[in-house]
Amino acid sequence: MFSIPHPGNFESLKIIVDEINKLRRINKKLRKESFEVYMGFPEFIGTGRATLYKPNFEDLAKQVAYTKKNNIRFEVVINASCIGGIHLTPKGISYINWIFSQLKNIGIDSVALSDPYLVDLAKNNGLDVNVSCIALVDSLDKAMFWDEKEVYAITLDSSINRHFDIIQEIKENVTCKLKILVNEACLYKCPMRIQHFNFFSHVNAQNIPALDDYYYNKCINLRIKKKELIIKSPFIRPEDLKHYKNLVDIFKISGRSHPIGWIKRVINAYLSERWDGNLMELLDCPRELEHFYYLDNRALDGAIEQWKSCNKLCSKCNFCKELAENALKVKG
Amino acid sequence: MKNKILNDREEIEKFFIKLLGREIFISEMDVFASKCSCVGIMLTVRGLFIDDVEIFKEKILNKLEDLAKSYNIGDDWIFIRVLPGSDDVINIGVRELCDICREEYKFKKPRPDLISLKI
Ligand SMILES: [Zn+2]
Repeated sequence: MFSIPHPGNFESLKIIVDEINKLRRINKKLRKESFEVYMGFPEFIGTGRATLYKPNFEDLAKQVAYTKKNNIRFEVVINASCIGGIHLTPKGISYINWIFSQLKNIGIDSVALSDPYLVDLAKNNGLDVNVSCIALVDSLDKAMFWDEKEVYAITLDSSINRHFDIIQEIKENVTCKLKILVNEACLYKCPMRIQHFNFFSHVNAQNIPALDDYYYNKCINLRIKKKELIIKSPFIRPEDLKHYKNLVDIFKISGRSHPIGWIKRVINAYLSERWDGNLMELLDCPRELEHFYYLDNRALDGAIEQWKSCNKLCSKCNFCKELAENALKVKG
Repeated sequence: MKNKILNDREEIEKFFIKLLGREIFISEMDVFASKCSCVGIMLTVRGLFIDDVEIFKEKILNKLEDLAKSYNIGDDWIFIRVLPGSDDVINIGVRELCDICREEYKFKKPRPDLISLKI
């Protein structure tokens, strides 16, 4: 299954559904494939990314009906990494329960959540739950914790995208589906991940007049200084999806805060499992770098074989550094 | 050039005040060039709503086209950006698009917070 980013407004949804239907028509392989779209739903709970549109329940219901008609699942993302404790107050609980019951009535197929308490509330309301990547599931122990809650799927922490041994172990020991982010290109084991998600969670939900996104700027600067960090980002190229097909069930494309033209381009590349050109043009977060760097996708052919067996002891191995020298050029 | 930008910021603020008959603030006017090779003009605005822009769309477009022309900037794309979840317009932009950005922005709503007035 493919999970497709949806910015949240009906116009964008129609463009996405048209694109999926078009690809289903021209690509025989995709006719058997299933799809879901996911969108942020900030309310006061917030989400882990900038959410540029806040639909009301009526609007949402129409969109859900439209995707159902097109045989596509609909997931709502409420995955703030911090809710500031409000969920554990009586008022907070009843408000969240109300939201979940509305989502259930509308016919949402699943909610993506990162807080175990919210998962319990959602399950009580009869909703299927996808554990968000923000829950940072990077080990068997964490995966089992969520699997015992009988969730529909777990989205793995992208930091283990190239740790095939860990993914394999999780796969063998859980009953839920596994979802993997394919084109998120955050720093490998990013030391600022939690702080950045916390920042987004509050800024989204409460309209905080933040001056600047320190974490984003720092992230860009680090990669300008050390370009191998781009190669070490745990992205999965469209051509490399086949290496994951026996391990994970759902390929999640990241990027719901980008323009719909960008989303179309990325859907096309991943659904056809091919991209010729600058791989930076497919990578979400941080996008700013696609104008600075040209990452030759063809030069990365076969690199996955190294990553599959690599033990991630980077100080003893220069593979990614050398690959960066060959495949990544600063644009003129 | 510095004085031209200073004058133009003031002039376009006056234009909006006269057009709408109330206080509109253009707190900043930027003339920019992107790495991707887009160039453009970006206005930061307070006090303007989507409705205002829809009602006076023609007049606003004419004004922005003239402004862009005076900087020798193409007006491929004229758009507004709203505060997510509200009707408040916070940016008005004119942009001469590069090929990649043209593909990305060629929709009425390329992103939920962006509304194209002309593409
Ligand atoms: Zn551009």
